[in-house]
Amino acid sequence: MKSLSNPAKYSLEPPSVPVAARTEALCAASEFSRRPGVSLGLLLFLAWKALGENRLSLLLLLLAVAIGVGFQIPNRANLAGFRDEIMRQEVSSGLGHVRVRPRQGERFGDVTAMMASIARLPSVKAVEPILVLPGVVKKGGHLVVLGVTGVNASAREHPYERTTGADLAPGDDHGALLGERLAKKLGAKVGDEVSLQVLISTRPRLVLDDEGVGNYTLSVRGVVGFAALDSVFVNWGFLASETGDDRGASALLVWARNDDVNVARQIASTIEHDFPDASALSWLDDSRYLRSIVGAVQALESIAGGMSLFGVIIPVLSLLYIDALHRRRQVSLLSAIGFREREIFFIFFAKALIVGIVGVLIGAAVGWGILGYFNLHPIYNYEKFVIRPAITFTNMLFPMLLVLATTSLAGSLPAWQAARVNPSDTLRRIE
Amino acid sequence: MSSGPVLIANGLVRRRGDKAVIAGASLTLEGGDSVAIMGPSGCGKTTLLHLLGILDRPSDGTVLVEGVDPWSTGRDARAALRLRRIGFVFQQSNLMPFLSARDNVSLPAWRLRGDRREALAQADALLEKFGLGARSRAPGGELSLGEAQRVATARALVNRPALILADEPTGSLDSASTEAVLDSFDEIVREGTTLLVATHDPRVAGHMRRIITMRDGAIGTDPN
Repeated sequence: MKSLSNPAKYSLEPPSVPVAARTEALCAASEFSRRPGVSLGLLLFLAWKALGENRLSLLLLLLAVAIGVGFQIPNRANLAGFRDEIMRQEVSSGLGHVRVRPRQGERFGDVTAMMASIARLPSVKAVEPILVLPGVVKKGGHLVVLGVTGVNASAREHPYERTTGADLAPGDDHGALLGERLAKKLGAKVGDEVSLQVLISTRPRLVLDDEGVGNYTLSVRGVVGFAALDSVFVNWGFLASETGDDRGASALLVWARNDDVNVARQIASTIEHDFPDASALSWLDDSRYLRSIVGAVQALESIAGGMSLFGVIIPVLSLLYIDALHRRRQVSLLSAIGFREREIFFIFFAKALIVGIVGVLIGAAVGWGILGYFNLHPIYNYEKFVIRPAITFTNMLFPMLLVLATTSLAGSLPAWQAARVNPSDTLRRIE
Repeated sequence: MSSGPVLIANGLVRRRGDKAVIAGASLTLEGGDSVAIMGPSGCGKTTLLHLLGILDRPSDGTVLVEGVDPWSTGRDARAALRLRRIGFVFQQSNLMPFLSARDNVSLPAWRLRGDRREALAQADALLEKFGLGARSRAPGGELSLGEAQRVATARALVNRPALILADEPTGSLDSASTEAVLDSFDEIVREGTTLLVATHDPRVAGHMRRIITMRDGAIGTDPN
């Protein structure tokens, strides 16, 4: 022992210059005022190394994130595919995006000017008339009561999708298209003849007279599917002329340039403004069925998305939180070495970020593989109604970003917890 | 950097609830001092070291590190002060187990200067000096206790601090490891770094130039 001390020697009278003033002056002049800049590489290095320490924990974290993304991508894509198929069948190859009907009476008179006006609207792709009259179609001993629909044979868009045979040609007054299910009921195929009785007038006196009913023998030109499974289509010009008003229509169907319901609503609003006698409704407002389907798909998307997020957030939060608790000693050492609180936060947050990025990329690869499988083996395939996943950039990217954001969020709480560790308390308790 | 005392503690008090764990400790450490704090378990040695190392805030009194009152500056400035001027060696679990010995040692230097290569070169030189060159790539978790303490000592030195605070640095070491750590402490002091060691071990105290005792949170009388 070289020298021993008396505590009195170490006692100190208060400095003659106030400490705060001295500190301020020294800080201004000393290297303490130069705070070392953070090295991102160092923080990421520590995060990466710490993650690699417990491989099982890392594997579980990556699995939780990857499964979240891997399930979310095909789930979202399949639901979007279902919605797309419904839209294709009920809107694009159905009754269009906007349906225009007379407010009073059953038909518009001459729709030529109205069609031309609507066709000029900027978001409108096509506008076509339909004329629907009650009728009966017969073949052999089979008879079906239905609505007979006159369509414009030369139109760009039709309220059906043909599956076999040919479309009606302009001026073809002897041809008909049958819905698939109707053709099956009647036992009719392309080239067969069917009898059609159409109630030309709904005025009671004429109904009782033969002159109010049209009787035709028509040749089946083609079979159509989708929403028109139980329908029969004939040439609009022919049917309209039979009613005595060869430019009349029960409704005008308007196809917009995209499926956005807001665009359809805008078109409908403009039409109602320009033609006060007409009622115009967007596809969503016109069909309770579509409204229910769209609502159901949205609800399923939200529920499935929420479940995936909980499936990610709970294990990620738990594992990282436990990790932060286990590493309180190491956090205290970092603090003693001179790491700042926000750097400690970043190290722990970066762990979540690394897990998120790697897990999301693995999940995206898994999701992509599942999408490929469902594309080859659709989850639903019955009578031309096929649900194939909608493989789009958004349907891939959205779940990835959502899960990455969720993982980051789940990682921020343990990171905050770690940054708030009191090094003195921790070192004293564990020592 | 101040040319005055490395550390001045004046009337330090640290209360936990109603109890004063440190009750009016005053202490001045000059450059190159080596001081042992001895005292029974629970007398407040660790708490005092934490107060002097700016890990804990005193309830009363002041600490000046090279003339700077760290508690009148911000958290970042205190962290910077610890990084540049103070090195710590604790009793155990001193290292990041997932980092190699050289990565552990290089950590403060990398943090301070932002240059990993330079930091590793410094770390290698220190490990070589402490006879751990052959173990430099071993993970912290796989080092023996003695090796780990010497690595921790090297880490405490890497930024050439003015003051090293060691809390029971040999508490869990065998004789051979204790000697190795004490040799490294002798080396530190020879180079002019101030060393303050809290210890129960008379062998450790014997290597220090001065000894002070603590009892019930107060710096007591010289045992001799």
